[in-house]
Amino acid sequence: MANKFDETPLDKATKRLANILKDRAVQLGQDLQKIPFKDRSWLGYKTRSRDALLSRHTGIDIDQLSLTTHIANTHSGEVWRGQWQKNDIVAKILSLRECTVRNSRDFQEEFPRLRIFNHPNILPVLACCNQPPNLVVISQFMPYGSLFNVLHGETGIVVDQNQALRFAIDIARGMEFLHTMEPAIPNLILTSKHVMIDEDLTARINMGDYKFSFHERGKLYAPAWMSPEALQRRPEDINLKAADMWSFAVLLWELETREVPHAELSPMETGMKIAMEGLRLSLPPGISSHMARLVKICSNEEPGKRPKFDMIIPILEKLKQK
Amino acid sequence: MATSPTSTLTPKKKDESFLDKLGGTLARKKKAKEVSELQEEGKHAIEAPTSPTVPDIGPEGYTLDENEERSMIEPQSRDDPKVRDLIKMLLDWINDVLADDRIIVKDIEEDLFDGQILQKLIEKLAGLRVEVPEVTQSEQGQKQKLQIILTVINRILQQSPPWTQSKWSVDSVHSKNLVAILHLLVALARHFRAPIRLPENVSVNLVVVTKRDGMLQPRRVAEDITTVNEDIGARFERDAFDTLFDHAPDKLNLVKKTLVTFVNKQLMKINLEVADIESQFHDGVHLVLLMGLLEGYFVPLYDFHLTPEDFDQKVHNVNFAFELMQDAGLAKPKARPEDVVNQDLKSTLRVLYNIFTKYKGQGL
Repeated sequence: MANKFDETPLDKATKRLANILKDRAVQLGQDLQKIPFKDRSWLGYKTRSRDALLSRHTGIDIDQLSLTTHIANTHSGEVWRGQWQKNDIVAKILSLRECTVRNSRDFQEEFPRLRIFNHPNILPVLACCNQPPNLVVISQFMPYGSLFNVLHGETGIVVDQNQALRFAIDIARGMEFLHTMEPAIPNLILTSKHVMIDEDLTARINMGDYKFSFHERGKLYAPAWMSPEALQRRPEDINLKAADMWSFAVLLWELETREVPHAELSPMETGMKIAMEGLRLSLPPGISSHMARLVKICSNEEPGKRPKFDMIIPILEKLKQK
Repeated sequence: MATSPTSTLTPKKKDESFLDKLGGTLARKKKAKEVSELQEEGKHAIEAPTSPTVPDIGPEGYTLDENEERSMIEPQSRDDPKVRDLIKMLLDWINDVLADDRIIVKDIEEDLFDGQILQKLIEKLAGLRVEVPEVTQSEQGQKQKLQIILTVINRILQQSPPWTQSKWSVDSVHSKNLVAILHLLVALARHFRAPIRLPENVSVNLVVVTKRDGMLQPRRVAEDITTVNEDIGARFERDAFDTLFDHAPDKLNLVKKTLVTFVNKQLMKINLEVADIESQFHDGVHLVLLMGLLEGYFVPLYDFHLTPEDFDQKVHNVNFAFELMQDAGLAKPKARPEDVVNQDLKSTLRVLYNIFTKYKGQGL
């Protein structure tokens, strides 16, 4: 049975597992013919599958988590490593000045949408604990950490040109998938800190870094990745997909130069300069002309002229083959 | 109807239909008028029994006991621009306070006399509940309710009953006495530090009639409603800044200078500079930017007004900055946003000093 992207479990599974499954299926005499996807979402309540309020997943008890090590204290919350149902997890306890009933309700409404399990380049939120004053977001533990960490930290992973391109393709695929979602997931800012690197060096967009509507209001910690229009105007007043494309251009630049964008400036300085003084990233002469052109196209000053993710994936793939 | 000039020019058939149409609109208009008249009448019928009948007669219409006094407001004073200003300001304030309850007060005399609005107002301002019947129709009931509410108000305002008697009472408020209602509202606004700047030295002229030896003796008295505003922004407990202002004005400059240096060190990074504390922080823009610089985030430009134009936008900015400060773990500023916007130096200094003490050691 195929999903709505015309993929069967055999397509989704890793090669080894797919082979085992296939053999098993043949042994059991199953028909390997694809059964096309049938949209059944209109059955019953139309909104049932999408409306988070009707989702029966109400979150898990915080006592089920065994948090072992404290990893970091970031602006968004406390990050802990631990175990849940024998899985290695990372739990982020959101930092809130006070947790109101309203926050808890919004949290309940928003987090089910982050549980996206059907794309290899998206790292879903596994579960949440909604127990005021603690709002906890739980995702899978990724030993290599974020792309930012892999590129600029000391992980010992060698990211060669090819690997960098693979990362770029992974991210583009993940973003393409997110952009097909209707309604789109708001407040997801694409930066190298929000992309996690899996053990097999797959880049996955971390849904756990979603910014809840009530969380860190009026504060942007990564303006260097954001488009000028996203710094100045409300999300509902701009083309969010084009703004994401700008962020992707910054990521490409980062993958290519291995530098932190606007590293020498504080966020406030960066933001003000990008928004008000036309500060832009400059492309150093050493990088490939193809890449330089792609970065330029993706960060067109005119949001409407930036390409879509499904348009640049083939380009990236071509670059990789070279 | 038929005298419409177009009727002579247009062919007969068309003329008819035109007239029909015309008749239609006119009839509709007439109907609409009837409806509004009916509404008016209905409204009157509903409200009439609840309003006390104020006899429309002059001072001589009252029967006065020997030595009793009656005072009436002089009609000209009502139109005094200052009095009107004051009334408008108080109305705006009441409507602001009661906005959450979806209550809109239109007329200061007509809407307040029965105690209903006063009850809501005092409940909201003082954060308490006054146990009185919801709606009262009879005059007796209204007065009883008013009595309870005024007692509560007087207790909150900590005024001794005898003194209060002279300014407002159940009877004077209930009989829609403008002077009494104004006194009451001004006292409330003062006590709860309403974020408005009341006009100063407002007074109304009263005609006071006294009966002496069976004769009515009118005389005119000017009654002060407001006097010179006392220090608006400073009604909380005294702190170092009060002492500083009172006793060491020379040191004040030193403090100002330190704060300016501290602030500029941050703002320089985004090519801004401040010279005067009093006037350059009142719109909140610099406060917001300062918090972003100190806490390491960018504030999206849609969350505040980079070039605020009116009072409300400035208050929004300062309020927003206060939110950011509290997020950063700073104590809730004691100053009110409105005071900062009104360029109250003491309040501005308090806010900045609060920030300064937290971040001075970081050598940012």
